[in-house]
Amino acid sequence: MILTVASGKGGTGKTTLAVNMALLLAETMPVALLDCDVEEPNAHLFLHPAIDACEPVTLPTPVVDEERCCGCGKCAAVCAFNAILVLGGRALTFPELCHGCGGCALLCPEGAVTEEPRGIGVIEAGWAEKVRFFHGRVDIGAPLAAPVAAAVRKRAQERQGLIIVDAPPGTSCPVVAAVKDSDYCLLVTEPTPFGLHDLQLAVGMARELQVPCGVVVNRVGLGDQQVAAYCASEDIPVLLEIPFDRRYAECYARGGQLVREFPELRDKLRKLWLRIRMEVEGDGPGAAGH
Amino acid sequence: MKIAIATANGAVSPHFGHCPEFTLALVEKGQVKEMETLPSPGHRPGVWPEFLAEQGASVVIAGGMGARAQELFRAKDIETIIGAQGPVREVLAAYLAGSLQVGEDACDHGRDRP
Repeated sequence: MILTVASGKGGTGKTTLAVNMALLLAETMPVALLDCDVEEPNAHLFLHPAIDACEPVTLPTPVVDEERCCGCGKCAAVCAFNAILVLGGRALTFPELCHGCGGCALLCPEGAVTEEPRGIGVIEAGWAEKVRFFHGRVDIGAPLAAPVAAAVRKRAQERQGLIIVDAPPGTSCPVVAAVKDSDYCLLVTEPTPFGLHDLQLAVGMARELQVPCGVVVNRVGLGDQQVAAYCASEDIPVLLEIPFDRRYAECYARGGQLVREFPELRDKLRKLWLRIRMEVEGDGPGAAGH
Repeated sequence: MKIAIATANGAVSPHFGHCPEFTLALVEKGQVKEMETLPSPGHRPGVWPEFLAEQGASVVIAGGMGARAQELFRAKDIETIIGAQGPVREVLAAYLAGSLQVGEDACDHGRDRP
């Protein structure tokens, strides 16, 4: 099962939830954690994995043979990101803008465009106790988080058991790469107007991707009741509420593992896993949010 | 969702491979809907994991379990809760409440990698 933890709003507790679920559930089943927040990966700060593999992520990028280029401009016309430009009968490439679709090479009538791999980031893998760990890092200056996030997400294919994906915040391309084709999406939010606003965006994204979703409300006790009211009106299950507790924040701040320090959270997360399992296996209370 | 529990005299059996019977519980909406008891065919390594997977079990609860059986369950994406003890109904209720406490694996012969 692929379980993705996403949020909309940043800083709601995605990584905290993903890491602690991974640690707890690895006690009873095979679990992999994929940190797809390739711009700011942080799950390793809590898991301390021993990295045993590192591989580059590359994107095919066009190289133009000037001898063969006829200057027709078909390559530039198809490029959605202006990574190739034809001026005065000559094609110029801007590799940092290229998203690697291959359209230019496909359409060139002279066969003048070839593709060469260009490094945009790395994926590292390792073990953190019983959790198989993967994360990606996009190279500094490479504005291409989505392909790196997708490359990390793809590692799910080589794993069995439960795969927990820690998505980046927001609802943009890297988040879509993480959430797409998941069996279930947990949306972590907080009971504030900001939490509600971004939760609504995230619910819209999950529905568009046809991934069933449920909500985890973190820091309950702060803020207001609007998130609960919204979830009720939209028929989205609220699967877990984590109270606002200074001890949890202190544990997080020193890179601690909540499930090792707070038995009550172990019970809550076990129950959350059961609810997710029932939602995914189709016999849970209420439809799964879409 | 189906949960299989290694059973001996109405309680969780300490040893998966040697339990006299299995309780198979059908759970719907967080409640136990049906329970049936399946007699054990005896200790034949590899048979029970296959059989329980065919029955659609997604969780197996036992007092202890050998490394080979655990590997077979892992390969079939079946969760194994090991180290449970007590009457089957109480253990099941605690599991569904998310509050099942597990102790040491009652069967510790030859286990290696996680």
